[in-house]
This record gives sequence, structure tokens and C-alpha cells, in this order.
Amino acid sequence: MKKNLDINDIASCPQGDLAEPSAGDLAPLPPPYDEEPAWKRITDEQRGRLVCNLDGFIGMGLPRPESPEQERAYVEKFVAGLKKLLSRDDNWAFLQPLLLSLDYCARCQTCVSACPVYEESGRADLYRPTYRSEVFRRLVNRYARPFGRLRSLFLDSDIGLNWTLITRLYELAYRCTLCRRCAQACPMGVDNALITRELRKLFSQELGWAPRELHEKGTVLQLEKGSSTGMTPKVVRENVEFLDEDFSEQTGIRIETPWDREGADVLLIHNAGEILSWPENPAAFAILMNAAGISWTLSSEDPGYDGVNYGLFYDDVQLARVALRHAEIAKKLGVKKIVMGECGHEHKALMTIADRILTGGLNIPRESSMTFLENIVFSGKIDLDPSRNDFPVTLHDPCNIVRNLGIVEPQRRILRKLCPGFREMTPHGVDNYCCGGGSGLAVMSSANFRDWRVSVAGRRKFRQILEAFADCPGADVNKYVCAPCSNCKGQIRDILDYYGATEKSGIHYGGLVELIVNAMTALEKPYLAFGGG
Amino acid sequence: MNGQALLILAYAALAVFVIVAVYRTWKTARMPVHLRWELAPVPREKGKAAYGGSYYEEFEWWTKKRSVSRTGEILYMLKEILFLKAVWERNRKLWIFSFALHSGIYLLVFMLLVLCADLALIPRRAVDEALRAAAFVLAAAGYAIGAFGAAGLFVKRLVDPSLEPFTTPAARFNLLFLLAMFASGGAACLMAGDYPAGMQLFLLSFFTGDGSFALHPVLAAHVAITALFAAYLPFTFMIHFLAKYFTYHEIRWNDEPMNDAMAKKMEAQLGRGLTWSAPHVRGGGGKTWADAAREVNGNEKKS
Repeated sequence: MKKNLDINDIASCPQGDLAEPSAGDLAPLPPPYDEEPAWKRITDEQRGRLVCNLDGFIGMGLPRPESPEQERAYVEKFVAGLKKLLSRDDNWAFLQPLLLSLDYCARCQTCVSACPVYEESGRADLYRPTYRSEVFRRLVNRYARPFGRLRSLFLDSDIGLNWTLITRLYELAYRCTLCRRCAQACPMGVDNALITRELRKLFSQELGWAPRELHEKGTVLQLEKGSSTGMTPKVVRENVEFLDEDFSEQTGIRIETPWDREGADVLLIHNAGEILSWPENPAAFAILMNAAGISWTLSSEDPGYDGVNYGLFYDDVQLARVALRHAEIAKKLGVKKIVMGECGHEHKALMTIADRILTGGLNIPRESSMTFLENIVFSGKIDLDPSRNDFPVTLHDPCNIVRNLGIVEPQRRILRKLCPGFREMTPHGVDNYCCGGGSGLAVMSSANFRDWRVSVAGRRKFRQILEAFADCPGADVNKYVCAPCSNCKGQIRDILDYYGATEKSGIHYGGLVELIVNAMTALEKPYLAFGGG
Repeated sequence: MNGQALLILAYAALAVFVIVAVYRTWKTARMPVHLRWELAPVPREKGKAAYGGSYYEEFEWWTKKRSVSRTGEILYMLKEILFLKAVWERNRKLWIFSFALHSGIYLLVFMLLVLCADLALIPRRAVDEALRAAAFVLAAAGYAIGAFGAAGLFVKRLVDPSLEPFTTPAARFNLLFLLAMFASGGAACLMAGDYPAGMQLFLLSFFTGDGSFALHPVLAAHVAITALFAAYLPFTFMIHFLAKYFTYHEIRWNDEPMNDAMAKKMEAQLGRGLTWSAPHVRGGGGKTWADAAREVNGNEKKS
């Protein structure tokens, strides 16, 4: 990869890629993973059809423009969007954090070593958390603030603005997982992840550009049909009823999921992806909550059965719409509290980011499943046998639950109590590394993006997992990565699949509640598919 | 430069510094209330800050009394301000120069306080001499260490390939300006005779408004450069010591849950208009955030 990338390079050489990473640049993994699978190359047909000018990977799938006029129109819209980001009306929600991060960066690069993408890529300049921020900062100073030309003399911000730049910047906005490790490291309190999210907002809210998986198949689908999975209320009820029957048969415990129960103590909102991809998770919640005698319900009103809120990653308007609907549904049901399923971004979206827009009767108490589950486990209501979980277990800390909300210990107390083979990753807790699929990346797999997401963004997490199980590396010992977040599970699934780590090293993954249910003495057989022990 | 002119320059510099610093701080403080964007660890979380935990770790947290420790916050800030902890941990090669630059400034501020204390105390020869000697040591050390830091940062930003692309002309100018300030001060220590006495004379004149004084030309030049720097500083990012209050206390550590006062502020915010033009927003025409939030993908809400 080209080293020492200059800030202004992003606007130059429109025909080629800005950087050309290669698998050989990546930080090496230990055996048997020291031979990196070859990356899928973009085909000529794809290059002819889609914009591909950043790093040889396509995450956005942006169609090539039809004419130079169309390119110019988008560039003008981009400038309009820059100005709106600085507006008290259009961007009141994040104006202060944005301006502080733009104006007070010392450009000291202290944050870069905190970024797993930059570090694992072989320290490619393009992936510095500061690179896209500096481009953005210079654009703001030159094109969105008074005396732009004069400013550019002092601030080196005379950066060319063209179609090449905005499309590269768009793609580059999705080479960051918004994990905020860089923000933690910054002595000034500057937040490059926030700047990245603001960029994504500009593209979405002004140009109408957002990854299809997050927008059309994400928030748009969720607001229209009820779920980003496409499940309508009728379909979700049918699916869960099927799961109830299936898991009742499997466990010997009668499972009945309550729906739309008015006045219930708890409205549980899962990430609906769990129902389709990891049904053992919602089933385990149902088993546990019924066994603990909790008054609870799911909602079948759209989108009350899907805690996903991809707006958190790219769009304030969509974020507000989804969060408001969730709160309205809870209010209508008259529940005492909403409990977040094992979904990190659901936690962050509904518990903190949307907190200030839930005014009036919509401010219904909201709680993490981590504390909720801890309370059940330590209540003494359920008979639990830790020996049923006697296999190596490590814990992945989802950024949105741990670094962003400070929920660190409850899940650990559960694991220490129920999993004799529990061991931490290094580092962990609020210093954790992102799974590599954060900020929506985990659901994005168009063209060859999955290869980048797994082998670059997910590389540090994979290394951490391998290190956590270094004392039992063989496939003969089943190991469990506990990832209490749907997004992270999706990414860890892809990492394990990409490197064949389940076959080679016996590494499995799943949520937290499954381990609790696996320890329940009321179950005759192990709940976890790989059998434990 | 005669005493009168130097005093006018110093007063003007102080006025510019105060006015611009206050204005920038006021402007930042008056920005609209933003949505929450906290980041663990929040050091005021009593008993939890050490590992980054928050009140969200409590079962039904809204029913519990929150335990807060301001000591944690103060300690965190002190480590950051005095020792540049984050840079020490992650950017050791830069820390040497950055720490020197900041330490130089702190030593000089301390030196001025010592000289002021000496002026304020009832004259006693032994104390007077001791304080002036201490002030001289602080000044000499401050100028030397500060100059080392400023020069080191300037060179490092020129030659380090990871810093050079990010270094603006303004950043280079700032470092040279700082270097000029430290170097002129160092020169004054060496060439201006009794430095503490000269500086004290200036301070006394500054507080009394008496312009009938004359400084050694080198010391006068140093005072003038320092005054110009003080006037220039609040226009630059170097005023980050004020901005940090907001980046830390108002953003990173502001995890206050919703309350009635905030709800009132937010009603006003949600009434602001939006003009974002993407198809799923369709802003403009008097549409407010509250209106937009109740739509479905830019269309009227389903009935």
C-alpha cells in the first residue's frame, strides 16, 4: 500500500484507486491462520458499473454517474450538506460535539494506535482515524465557513472538491466501525468516530446515499414493514410460535411467548435478526423469563418486535423515527420498562442517544438485558449448575454496550458464576476491540466488502479470540465466544467461517442467555448445540 | 519600547485575550443542547470508574440513587493537564516535546505567581531574595524546557512522515511563535541583568498603571512578544484548555438521564426546522424535526 498519503491526494487521480492494500501488508496471524485467504477482486464488469476508486473494495455499490452534470449536481449537494452540518437548525443534535472535534484536534496522531483497522492493515495511512477527519475538516474550512479561501492559506485547506473526492470520502466513511477507541485515546476529547458518523449523515440526509443494507433494506424496510428482516407482524408471530414449538420439543420445557400483553412488567425487544439467524437466543430468553416468573411480553406491532435501529449508524432522522416508534409502542402497552435484547446498537440507540428525544410520556424506563439477566441469575429463582458450562468461554465486549454505556461487570458476574472455564480477552472491558462489524458493517457484504470487513476490520478481534484460547488451541476442545450482541455475532460468525476456525480450532460463538439456559438443571439435555463439556 | 507603550500593548493583549476567550467559550456554551454521546470511563462514577462502569450496571437503575465522586474527575483532569497522560500512554515520542512545551508554560505561570506573591508580601529581605531566586530558577527552567518542547515539536512535525501531512502552516507558525516567546525569555534571563527584578518592575507597573518605567531592551522585547502571543492565542486551537471543558464534561462525561428541565429544552429543539433534502427526509417548507420524526421514510405516518 502507498505510504505517506497526502491529505489532498483524495481528490486526485480519478481513474485509479487511492490506495492498493494487499493481504501481505496485514499484521500476521498465528498458525494455522498464517496463510491469508486471497481477497476477491472487483471484476471489470463491476468497475464499469459501480464507483470503485478507494482501495479496491466496494461496500457502497454506488452506480457510476450518467453525466458530468450529474457529478456536478452531487458535488453541489455535498457542499450544501456541509453547510447544513454546521447549522443550528439542521444539526442541533450533534452540532457542539462536531464543531469541537473539528476545531480542537491537535493533529498529534495519538489516537491512531488505538484503531484496530489502522493497526491491523499494516498501518495504512488511508485507514488512519485522522485521515478522513482531516479531509472533512479542510472541506468544512474551505467550503462551509466564511472566508474559506483566506482560511485555506493558514489551515492548508485548499483541497480540491470534485466527484472523485466525494465518492472516495463516502466509501471511506464506511472503513470505520465507530468503535470510539480513538476518542478514548484523544487527550483533547476529539471524536473521529463522531466525525465519521456526521459524514455518513451528510451523504444520507442530503444526497440520499447510504448503504443499501442499512437504508433501503434497513430503516426504510423496518419503518414500512416492521423489521429490517422483512418480517411483518404476522410473519414474526408465526416464526416465534414455530420456535416455541420447536424448542419446547427440544428442551422438554413448554415454551410460550406472550404477545402484546398490556400492563406487563417488561417489554422485551429483540433484534429480529436473532429470530431468523440465532433462534436459540430468543427461545432462551423465553425459557428463562417464564421460569423466573416474570411478567413480560413481546410486541407484534411494527416495529416493536425489532430493536434494530440502523439510523444510529448513518442518519439522525431515521434514528429518531425508529426510536420514537419503539417508545410509543411501549407506552401503548403500558409496560413498566423496556428491556433491550442482546443487541448492542439497540442499547445505545434507545437507552442513550434517543434518551433526550423521548419527551412526555415516552420516557419509559429502559434497561439492558445484561443487568436484567444478572438479576435473574442471582435471584435464586432458577436452579443453575455451572458444571454444565465446563468448557472454555471468553467474552466479547460489544462497543455499544460496554464502551458507550459503561455496562461492564453484570455479564462478567454471570460468566464467573456459571462458566468455570471463563477467561478474559486482552484487552477487555471498556478497552475492548470492536468485532470489526460495528456501525452496520456486519450486515454489509456487497461485492468484495466482506473480505475487507473480516480480514482487516475483524482481524484484531480474531487474534484476541485465538489468544484467549491459546491454552487449548485444538479442534478437540469446544470453545465458546460469548458475544451478547447480534451485530457482533454476525461478524464473529463471518470471521470464524472465513478462516475455518470452527473446524480448525473448535471455536463456537453465541449469546449470553444461552449459557444461562445451558446451566439450568431443569433441562435434561445441554441447550448449546455443540454439547459442552 | 518605552514603558507606556509596553503597558498599552500588554493591556490591549489582555483585553483581546479575555474578550476572545470569553466570546469563544460563550459561543460554545450557547450551542444547542445535543443528544447524548458519552464515552466510558466516566470518572465520576463512584466505585465503578476504575473499570469504566456506569449507573446502567444497576438493576432498574432509575430506582437507585446515583453515587458520584468529583474527586475522580479532578484526578483524571489533573493527570491529563499536568502529565499529558493520554499522550504518554500512546505517543511517547511526541510526549517528550509536548510535555516539555506545556511544562515550560506551567513553570512560567508559576514564576509569575511567585513574583506577584513577593510583591504582595511585606518586604523582608531574606524572603524577598529567596522568592526572587526561585523565580529566576523557574524562569530559566521554563524558558529552556519550553523552547526545547516548541523546537522539538516544530522539527518533529517537519520530519515525521506521520505528522507532516497533517501539519498546517498555522500549526508551524504557532510553534515558531511559542519558540520566539521562550527564546526571547531565555535571552532576557541571560542578558537583561536582574531578570526577576525587571519582570517584577513590569508586573508592578502593570497592576498600578504607572508607565514611567524602563526595561532592558531584551526583556522589553520578550514582554512584547508574550503580549502579542497572548492576544493571538485565543484565535487558535491552542485555546483547547477551555474547549476541553466541553469535550470532557459536556460530551464525554455527560451521561445525565432525561429530566424535566432537559425535556423542556428538547421540546424547543424538536421544534426547529430542517432542510435536509434527501428523499426520505424532504425537509423545508416549515417542516420541523418533530414533524419529520413522526413520518415514515419522508411520507405521512401510516394510519
